[in-house]
Amino acid sequence: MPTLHLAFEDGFEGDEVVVALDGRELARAKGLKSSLATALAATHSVQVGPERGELSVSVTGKGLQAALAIDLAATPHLGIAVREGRLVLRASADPPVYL
Amino acid sequence: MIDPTGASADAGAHDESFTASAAPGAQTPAAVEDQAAGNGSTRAAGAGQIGPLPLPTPIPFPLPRRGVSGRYRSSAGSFRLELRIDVDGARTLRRISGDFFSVSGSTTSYFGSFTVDAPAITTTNALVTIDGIGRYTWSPGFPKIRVTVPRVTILQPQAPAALQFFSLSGAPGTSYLCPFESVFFRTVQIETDIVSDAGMPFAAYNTGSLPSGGPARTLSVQSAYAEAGVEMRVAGASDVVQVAEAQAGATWSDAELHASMVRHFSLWQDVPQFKVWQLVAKNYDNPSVLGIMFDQQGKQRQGCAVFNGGLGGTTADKLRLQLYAYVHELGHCFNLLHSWQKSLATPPSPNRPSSLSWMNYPQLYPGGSAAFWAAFAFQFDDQEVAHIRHGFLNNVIMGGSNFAVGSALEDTRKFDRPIEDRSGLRLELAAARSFALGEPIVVDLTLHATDTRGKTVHPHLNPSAGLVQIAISKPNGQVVSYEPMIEQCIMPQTVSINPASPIGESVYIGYGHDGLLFEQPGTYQLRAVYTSLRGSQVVSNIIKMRVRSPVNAADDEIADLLLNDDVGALFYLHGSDADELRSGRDALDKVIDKFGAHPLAAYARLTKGANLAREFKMVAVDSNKVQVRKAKPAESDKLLAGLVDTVGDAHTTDPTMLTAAMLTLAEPARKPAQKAAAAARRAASANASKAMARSYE
Repeated sequence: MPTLHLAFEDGFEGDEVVVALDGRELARAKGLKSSLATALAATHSVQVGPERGELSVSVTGKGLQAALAIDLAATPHLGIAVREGRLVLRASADPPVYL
Repeated sequence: MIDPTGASADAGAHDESFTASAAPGAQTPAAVEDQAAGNGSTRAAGAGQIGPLPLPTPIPFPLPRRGVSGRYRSSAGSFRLELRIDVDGARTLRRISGDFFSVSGSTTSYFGSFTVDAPAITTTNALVTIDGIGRYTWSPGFPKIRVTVPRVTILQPQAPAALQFFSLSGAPGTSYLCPFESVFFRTVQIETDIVSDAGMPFAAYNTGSLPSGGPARTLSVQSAYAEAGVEMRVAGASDVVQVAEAQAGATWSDAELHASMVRHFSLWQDVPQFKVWQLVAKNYDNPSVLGIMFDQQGKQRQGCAVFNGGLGGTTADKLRLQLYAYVHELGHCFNLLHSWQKSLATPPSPNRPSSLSWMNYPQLYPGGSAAFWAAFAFQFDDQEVAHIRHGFLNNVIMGGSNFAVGSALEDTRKFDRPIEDRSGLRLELAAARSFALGEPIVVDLTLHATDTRGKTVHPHLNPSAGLVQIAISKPNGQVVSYEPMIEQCIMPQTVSINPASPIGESVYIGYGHDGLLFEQPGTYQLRAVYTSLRGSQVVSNIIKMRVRSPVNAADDEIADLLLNDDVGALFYLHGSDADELRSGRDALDKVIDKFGAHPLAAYARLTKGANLAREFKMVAVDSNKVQVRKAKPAESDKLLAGLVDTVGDAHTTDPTMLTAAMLTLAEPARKPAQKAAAAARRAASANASKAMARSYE
């Protein structure tokens, strides 16, 4: 079963984030707060049924939403961030670096 | 206040030999120059002083001359100066900067820093002369600076630099003779400790091992920082830290790292010092984190850690990542933020997500990690180098300002006009030409479309929304960014404008997050930057405004009453019932009661009257219940009587219009046509905002 590696990156200030694949909730992270030193709030890995699908993310308190077609075989890492007022999703093949 | 730039400094144990003002034995600036140039022998060498330079020996052919960049330090007097000259050599920034330390008996304390960002530099065969006006961490009496450094051949020892301060009118202040100390602008002592299970620490990487954006060379942490002008001197007693200190799971938390730093960092003190600790460990609590500047308590930024669990290995890409991580974490210790997070600094700076810097994240670079590494030249960007070399001491030194505070203060070039501007927009900044001391400072911002097809823009011209920044150059040369007292989270909106329909807003900027901003008489210069929807930086015209000195006792007393943080907050908020602002309300009452006929009393009446015109809600501390103070229209009318004719909008409770009313009070002679145009612009903006708000409902 493929694994989706979620990284809640910069821009979170005690937020709640919901991640869903094809409408099915995969993860709900509460109280996310990003570190200025690492630009990371939290990471979370979740096993997923289908390899491909429409991934949707919402920051509930801020009314932010974004969606992305994802292929977990090619890009199992998903970075989620709020930058300049926008929800940014970035899928990658390699694990991102946090420093 | 004692001022190391001028005559007042002489009251202390000043180095009389180099005082060009009042002290006995003072030298003229020319004499100091001659001396620095080795052309004279007007003084004898004494304790802590250097004697005249030897006359150059004639040589039959020209020898190459040394550069003059580096660090210089005066050695005598009541103030000691560390001077950094950055005008030639590798990656020159054409700046100078310095730190003053006051000496009293056997104690030495940091006094303040200055920097000259864009000096005029004149180089002859014999001398480098650097002229400019500094910006300072204090208000100097003599802000102009001239530095002269003789150029010597490579066979001669480096010559000292002579620094002379001048007043704005050209009167000489104090001078300092600073012998050469180092080719490096800063020297930092670094101690590296290793956790028992971490494996080998990083040593060096050849940047030609994989494609990159710079010349191939072998870089260690020390040589990477040397390229930025910093000497990293290995110091202290290297220690092996037992992994048991990480407690359960053998992974490290911030608290464990800090405790370990205090225990093992042999040079550690909870004070500002150019000393830093780097720990090589195996794993952080979150294995995705490969390095962290963990020290964010007490005196911050003194320690960082890198984690070999994710970084370790000997392949080229692993060695490259290790070099990057080690240098990056130490960059945080110098108070550098990530490239795309510069706006989170206090004060903020524009984000630079496409910066090819140690401080960027490869995966966030446009085009991704591969594009970053292919273009990365293994260096900091120019603004970061400027910060490291020339930032005010406490903003750079480990244990100085807290992380992110002052990390971008010197980046005032964001307010430079771009070389090319295709934004199709023009930002206009306007204000009254002069203000009384204590008077609320209000500016008018107007955004015009220059593209005849019109432009879609956001209408958020108030800096509180974070999309407009205003730089203020103070009479002492210090440049600061206006930081709003309250930052607003805004729902992104767009409006369409065309050349015939600009949008505008009046903004009170006299008081912000860091307090009062116009508390000194003198001439101020202001410039604003509007960040467009596409990220363009639309830079305004520069305006000059004068804050007038009080001319009589009443002016002086009113200025004292109004230059009060609580009054500033009340002007910002257009009044408030909050208990914590009581001293401000008392001051406004006193202005109204005692100086009712004074022009500045109108602001006090406007602020109080506007507040009384609205109801005011507060949460009671004891009951958590909302208490509502009803609007008091009769009392409001009494305060605002007479102002209506002057400002027109005084009875409104719309904050935008109230601020505009302040601007009209400041500039009663404003032509009716200008006032009408400004009102039309504001009305257009307000209507557009309301329309957008409705569309979101």
